[in-house]
Amino acid sequence: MSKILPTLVLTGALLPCATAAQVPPNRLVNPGFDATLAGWQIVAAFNPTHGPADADGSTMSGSATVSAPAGTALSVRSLYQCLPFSGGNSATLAFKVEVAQHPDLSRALGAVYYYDQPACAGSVLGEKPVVPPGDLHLGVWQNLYTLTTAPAGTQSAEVRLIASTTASGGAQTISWDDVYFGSQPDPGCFSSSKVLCLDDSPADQRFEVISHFATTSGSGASGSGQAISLSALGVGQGGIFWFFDHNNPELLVKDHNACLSTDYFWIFVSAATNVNVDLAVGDVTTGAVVLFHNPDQSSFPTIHDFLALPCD
Amino acid sequence: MRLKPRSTASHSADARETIAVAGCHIPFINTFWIAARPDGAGSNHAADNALGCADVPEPGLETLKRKDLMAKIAPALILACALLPGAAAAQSQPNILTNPSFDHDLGGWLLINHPTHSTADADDSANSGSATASIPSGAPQGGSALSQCFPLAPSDAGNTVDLSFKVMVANPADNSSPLGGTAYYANTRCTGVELAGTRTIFPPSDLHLHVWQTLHAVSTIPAGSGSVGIFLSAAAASGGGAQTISWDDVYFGPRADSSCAPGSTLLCLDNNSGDQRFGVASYYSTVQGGGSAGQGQTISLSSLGVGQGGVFWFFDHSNPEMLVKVHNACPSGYFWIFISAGTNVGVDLYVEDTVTGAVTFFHNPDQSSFPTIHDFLALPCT
Repeated sequence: MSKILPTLVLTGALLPCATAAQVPPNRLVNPGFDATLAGWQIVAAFNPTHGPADADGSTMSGSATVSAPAGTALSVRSLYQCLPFSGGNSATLAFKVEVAQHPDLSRALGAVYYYDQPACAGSVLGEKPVVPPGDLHLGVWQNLYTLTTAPAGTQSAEVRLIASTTASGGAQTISWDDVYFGSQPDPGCFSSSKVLCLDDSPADQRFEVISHFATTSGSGASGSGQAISLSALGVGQGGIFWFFDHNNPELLVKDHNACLSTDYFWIFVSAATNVNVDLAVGDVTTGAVVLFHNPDQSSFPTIHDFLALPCD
Repeated sequence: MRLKPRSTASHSADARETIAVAGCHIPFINTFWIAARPDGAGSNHAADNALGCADVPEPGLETLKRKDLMAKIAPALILACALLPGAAAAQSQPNILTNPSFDHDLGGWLLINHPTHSTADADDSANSGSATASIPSGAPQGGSALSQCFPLAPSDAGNTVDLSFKVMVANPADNSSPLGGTAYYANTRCTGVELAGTRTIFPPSDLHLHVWQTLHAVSTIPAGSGSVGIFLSAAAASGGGAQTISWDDVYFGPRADSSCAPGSTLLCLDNNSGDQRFGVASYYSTVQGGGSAGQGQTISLSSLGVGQGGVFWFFDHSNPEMLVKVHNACPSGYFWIFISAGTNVGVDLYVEDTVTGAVTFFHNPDQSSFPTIHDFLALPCT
C-alpha cells in the first residue's frame, strides 16, 4: 500500500473535509455507499439503487444494489468511476458482493478498464475482470479481488461494477459494498507508526493493516490510525490502532487462519469508536485487499468477516 | 471484586456451614472465594449434586409489601437451584445471582406483580433480554418486581458487597420510590424485620430516560445476618402516571477491592496515569467445539504506554478476543466503558471501580456475536 500519492489530488478535491496527506490508499469516491450512490456514474439499464444493507453491519451506511430482470441474459455495467491512472502502475480491485442467485460464472461482477486518454476517453488498452469464484456464497457478503497492471500508455482507468442475470437468464439481485481500487500491498509488510503487520504463521507478517479516521464531532478531526503492535507481548495475530490519544486504544484488528475449513482468512474488527473509519487489510502474499468502513457519528459494529481474504 | 486466588482452608469450613443451613447449595459470598481458586477446586456444582436440591412448590405471587414478599423468596430459590443444574460456570464468578442477564426468561427470580421478559438487552445482544415491569397509570405506588434470596454464614458479617444493575425507565420516576436494593435478615429465608445495613437504590437526580444506566449501592453485611434479599423494584412514575422499567445485568457480589493488583486474569486500567483505578475480569464459556470455559487471560498494554485499555485472550495467547477501555467523562458524571470483542462465545465481563466500590457487569450469550458496547452511563464517577 505504498503507492498512495498519485491519487491524493483527485480524492482530496472530492473530499474537501479530508486532509489530503492522510487519505487512505483507496482511490474511489464513496466506496462504502454511506447514504447515496454519489460519486458513481449510474447506467440506468438495471436501475441501480442505494440499499440499506451494509456489508459491515452499519445502520448508517448501505450498499449499491441492482435487480436484473429475468430474460435479459446480459452483463451490464451498472456503476462506474473514472480516475487518472498511469501505465505501468499496479493496483488491486476488490469489493464485497452479495448475490441472491447462482450467477453465470463466466460473467464478471466488476472490472477495471484502461484508456489511452484522460477521463476514460479514447481507446481501451486493456481490461481486467473480477469473475465470480466457484465457491461464491449466496446471500452473504463475500470479498472478491483481482490484481491488475495498467498497460503502457494508460492515462485513465474506469472501475466498473457489473450486473448480470443468472446462468439460465433468471432474475438476479446483486449488491456491492466497500469497493477498493488502489495500491497493492507491498511484498513484505513493514511496521510503522501507521502500518500494523499481523501474522499468519509466527512472525511472517503476512497481513498489512492501515486505518484512517475522520469526524465532524467536536471541531472536526481526521488522520491516520496510529498502530500499536502487540508483537512485543507475544501477540502476532492481532493489533490495535489509536486515533486521538495513545493511551486510548480505538480499534482491535485480528486475523484467523481458517484455510483448512473455509479457504478463507477470517478478519475480526472490534472497535470502540463512533467516528468515520476506513480500514484496509492487505494480504502481502496474494495481493488481496479487504476494506472495512464505518461512517461518522455511528457506533462501529463488531465485524466478524468469514469471507474476507481468500487463502490463495 | 476479589479475583485473586485465596487461601481455602477456612473458607471451605464456611462453605460447609452454609450448605448445611440451606439444605441445598445456594451461592453466597464465601463460595466465591473457593470457586475463584485457579485449580477449580471447591466446585459449587459438585456440592449441589452431593446434597441434592429440593424441588418445592412456588409460592403464590399475589401483591404484597416487600417485607412480606421476602418470606416467599427462599423456597423459590431452592426451586431455581433445581431448575438450573448447568450453571456451574456462572457460579465460579463473583456475581452470585442466578440468571442475572435474563437471556431467555426470568428463571431463577421470584416474580412479583407480573414482570415480563423483554427482548431489549442492555448489551444490545439479539440473543439476550431483560426483565420489565409496567405500572399502569393511577397505580398508587411501585413495588418489588423480582427478588432472589441467599443464606449467609456468620463469617460473612463485615464483608462489603455491591449490588448493581442496569435500569431503563420510560418516564421520570418518583425519587422516593426504590428501583432496587439489598435487605438483610436474621433468619436464612429473608423473612421478618430487615436488619440495619439494608441499602435501597432510589432513582438518582440524573436518571436518564429510555437509556440503560448503571446504578449501584455498596453495603456491609451486618452481624447477625442469616440471609440477604436482592430486590428489583418498579419505581412509580412521578405524578402517578404509567411507568415501564427494565433491568438487566444485575450484579451482587463482593464490592471492588480498594486497589487493583494486575495478574493473568485481572486487568488493571488507569483513570489517571498509573493509578490502576479500574479492575477488569472476564469469563468465557461455550458449547461450541466440544465445549470449554474459563477465565479470560489478560494482555496488559501498559508496557506499550497504553493505560486506559487492555486486551483479553481466551483460547490462544496470539489471538486476542476483546479490547476493553475506560474513558473519563466525569463532566457527564460517568466513566464510559467501551468493549469491542471479536468473539461469539459466552462472555461475562466485570469492571470494578476501586475508588467507589462499584462493579458493573456485561454479558454476551454463547453462540452470539458480541456486539460492540459503548456504555456512556457505566460507572458513576463518585
